[in-house]
Amino acid sequence: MLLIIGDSHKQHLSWLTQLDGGALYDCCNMAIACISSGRTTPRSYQGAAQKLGVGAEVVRSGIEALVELFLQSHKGALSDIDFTDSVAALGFGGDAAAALLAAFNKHQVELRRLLSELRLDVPHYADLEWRHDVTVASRMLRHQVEPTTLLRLQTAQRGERLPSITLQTDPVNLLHLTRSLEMALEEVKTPHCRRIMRHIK
Amino acid sequence: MRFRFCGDLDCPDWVLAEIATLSKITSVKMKLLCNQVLADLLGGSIDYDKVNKITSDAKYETGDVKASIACLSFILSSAGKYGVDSEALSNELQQLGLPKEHSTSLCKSYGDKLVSLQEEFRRQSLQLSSVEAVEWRVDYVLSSSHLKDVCESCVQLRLAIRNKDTQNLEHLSFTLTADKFRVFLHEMKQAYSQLECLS
Repeated sequence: MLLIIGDSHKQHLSWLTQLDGGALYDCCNMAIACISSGRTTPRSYQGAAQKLGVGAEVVRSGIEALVELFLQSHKGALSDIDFTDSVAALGFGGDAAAALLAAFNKHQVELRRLLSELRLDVPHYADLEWRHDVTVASRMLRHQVEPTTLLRLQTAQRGERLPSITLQTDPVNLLHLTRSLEMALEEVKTPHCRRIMRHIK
Repeated sequence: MRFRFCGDLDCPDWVLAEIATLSKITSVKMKLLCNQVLADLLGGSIDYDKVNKITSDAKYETGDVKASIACLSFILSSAGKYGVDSEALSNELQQLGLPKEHSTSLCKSYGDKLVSLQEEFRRQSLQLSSVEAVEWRVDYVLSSSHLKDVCESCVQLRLAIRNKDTQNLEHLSFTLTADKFRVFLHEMKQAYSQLECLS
């Protein structure tokens, strides 16, 4: 599967094809640093521009084009062969293609982890506290015996704890709740689910 | 196999695995480690430098240190939760494969601190926001922009409420007329008499 790259993107990458392997590897490292820190460093662009004899703006657009190239490749989980073919199609020669491939492989784990953290995140379970109470009397009615369970559910999203939710239930509802959750767990052991999980693995 | 300290359920597999790790240190070091974990459960903190000194003889790696702390934490808090006495705990731990000297030293530390552990767990049990302080003031309203002669008394109440979520102290202020306050006081006295019946 080859990468599909837009024309303006190709244009930004075009000046990089003229660089040798070492300079291109340095540019790749700058691109990776830019992804990891999430910030651009104009001073390093100035330094690179002076070394390579091109404008700082050209360097900036080239580095950003490399960032986009790496992110798209990791998003699609390209194999080495596919990545080499894609960069060859962009006009990168033997040395340059090898430098790009080396940078691609070196930071593969880190970049995939970063991309996986940027996913759509819904609140998920963090903690559940419970307490059994018995209501013995209230303002309207004395001499009662009403068992209740108080639950405090804590959820978290992107590592941050959200405000907790306090719930109250009677024994019948609690039994129904636990039965429904146990049925959901048992559903995992059915042949249908097992077939799907085997297929995914 | 059902264990009382696990609430009459099976012992988790990871605890079984870590008991093997715990057997590697001497029973004296085990007692010191238990004391650290108990201090943590009672609201203090673990001194990791001391823990590293204790476990350095047995050449524990970071993973082993974490696992043994987690295992001891589980055993002690679970036993405290279900109110297991030290002898029964010692028997059950020996059944799981912990050597006799280690079980004895663990259960001695546990037995000494059982009452304080249960007090701490009682304190940590689920609680909704609680009232920490009540302030009141009685006012006599002479007149207002709506009526020249008002001449009514009212009570201002301010409750200091501890929010259990954020641990912040919030203030709730409100005013009651004399009649409303009488009803409020009557209801509170009835609730109090119900409390007295229970205790």
